[in-house]
Amino acid sequence: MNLLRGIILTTKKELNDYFGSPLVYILTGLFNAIIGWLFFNYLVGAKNLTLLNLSHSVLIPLFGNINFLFLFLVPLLSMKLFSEEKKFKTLDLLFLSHLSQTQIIFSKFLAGLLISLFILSWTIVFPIILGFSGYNDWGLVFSSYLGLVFSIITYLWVGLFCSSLTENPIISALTTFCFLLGMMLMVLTVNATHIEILNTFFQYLSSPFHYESFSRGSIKSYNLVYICSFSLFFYFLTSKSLESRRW
Amino acid sequence: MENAIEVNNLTKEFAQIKAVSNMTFSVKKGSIHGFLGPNGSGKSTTMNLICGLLVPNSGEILIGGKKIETDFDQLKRSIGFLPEDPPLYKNMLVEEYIKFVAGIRGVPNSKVKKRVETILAQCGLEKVKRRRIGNLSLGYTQKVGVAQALVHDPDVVLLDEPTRGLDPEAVDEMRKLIKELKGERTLLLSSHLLNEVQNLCSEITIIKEGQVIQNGSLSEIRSLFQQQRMFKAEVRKFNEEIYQAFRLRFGKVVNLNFEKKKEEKSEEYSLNLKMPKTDDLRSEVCNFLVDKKCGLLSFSEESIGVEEIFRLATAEGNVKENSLKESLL
Repeated sequence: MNLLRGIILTTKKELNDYFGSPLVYILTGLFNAIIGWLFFNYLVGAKNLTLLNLSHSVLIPLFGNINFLFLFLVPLLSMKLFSEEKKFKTLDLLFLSHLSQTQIIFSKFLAGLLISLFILSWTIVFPIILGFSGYNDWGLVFSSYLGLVFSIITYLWVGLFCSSLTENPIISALTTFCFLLGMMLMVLTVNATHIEILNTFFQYLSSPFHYESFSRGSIKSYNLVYICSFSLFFYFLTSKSLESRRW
Repeated sequence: MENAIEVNNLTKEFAQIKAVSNMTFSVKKGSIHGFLGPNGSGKSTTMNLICGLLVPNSGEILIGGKKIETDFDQLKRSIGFLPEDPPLYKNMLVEEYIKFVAGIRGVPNSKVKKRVETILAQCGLEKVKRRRIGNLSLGYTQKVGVAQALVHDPDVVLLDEPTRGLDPEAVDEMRKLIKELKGERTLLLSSHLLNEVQNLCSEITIIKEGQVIQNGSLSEIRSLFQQQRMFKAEVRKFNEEIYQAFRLRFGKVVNLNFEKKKEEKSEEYSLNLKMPKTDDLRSEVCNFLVDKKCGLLSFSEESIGVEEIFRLATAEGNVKENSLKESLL
């Protein structure tokens, strides 16, 4: 089957599912209310409203918080992707269709990514507000958003894999959240040991470390290698997990 | 006749428990094949194996002469499957769902609209096409399940208990729909309603504990289980004296039971006769009844019902690995 037609059809169906449920609207509202409140606080707390100060006191911590909040949001957005299909036996319908397993996985991933971007897109209001008062470091804004998108991609792959493991969306969300939080806490624990090689290794494995490079505006090639290898690894795991249904 | 489905020595284990064990049977092209077995006998597992959703531990499945394991991507295009629980997106509208399935099943964009209209009409879903699947009755839900299995015009259709949980009217409609499909496609139908299998299927496979007990045409299996020929006669007059005369005349060769019909206003008796398959004593029995002036109203042969075949076949100790054909050879 035409690669794009299959992906478009399934992604469209997934997006209809998302927008047909109140979850997305509740999460969007809640998320943006929290970010808006944080933006206001950072703005009030900033001593001087200079260009450098706005970046360091307002935007960088704000984007850091957005990244942290997506740690909670992505498990909720990805929890149903495969688990509900398994629960209602509709996964068999997809496997018997002309879609390949890769098309099925990518269409689910794409739907999750698009819905995450929808939630994220509202935050563009905050840099624009700063822009009206003369802020113009758009490079930093762009690289921070790029970092957020890459972070979301890694979170989504974990969510997609966890969703393929169970029929229960709640278990899927909890497993994803535990995995992502564990990845974050792992770095903190290893930092405490002061073993440099171990430190570097685990830092490289953790997604927030790579996000930091983006938020500072200094993207390294290994950041991109990490995103690609992480995505490929979890695509492989998801693929094997789905295949195991036939064994 | 060419076989549409061939299952050879199929075995499937789950955690070392054999769900399907060395199963062999075939389904002829263009036929409706009944798949019978008690609960937990492995019917659904076999259906899932045939359509490639499960991988067998050993054995092979051929659809139209091609192996499902190696040609799954190609063969899944020619298979329509209605599982025990229809795979439905309950928040979608009926028409929207069938359109979606048509799309992912590879119906060309230009033909989707026409194909969806045809299938909705064929399955009697036109009235409910704008309704949410989750709000439909069980009968309509099952019809939507059948529609999704047929929308891409498959050659082989597997229906796993299509009438499960339906009321008699819905069962009747479903039966009509299945009958309409006969000839165009090969249908493998699993059902608990034995009467349904008798009405729809020309061939049956009976399984128990994951093994084929009997496989063949209904008439072949019937004759295998029917050790004696059974007849039913209706007469105006019958009594103990005639009964004794009958026993004297035919002895133990023809077994006779009689009872007075309760619902009839005028006196009528029903006679149940059993005679060996080897001796045709029909004319002698009829002549006897006429001679005794019993007032013979009707005389017809009764065949063993599928219920009885099923009961006998699945009775304890009846599990055989060989199919009927093999046992006849």
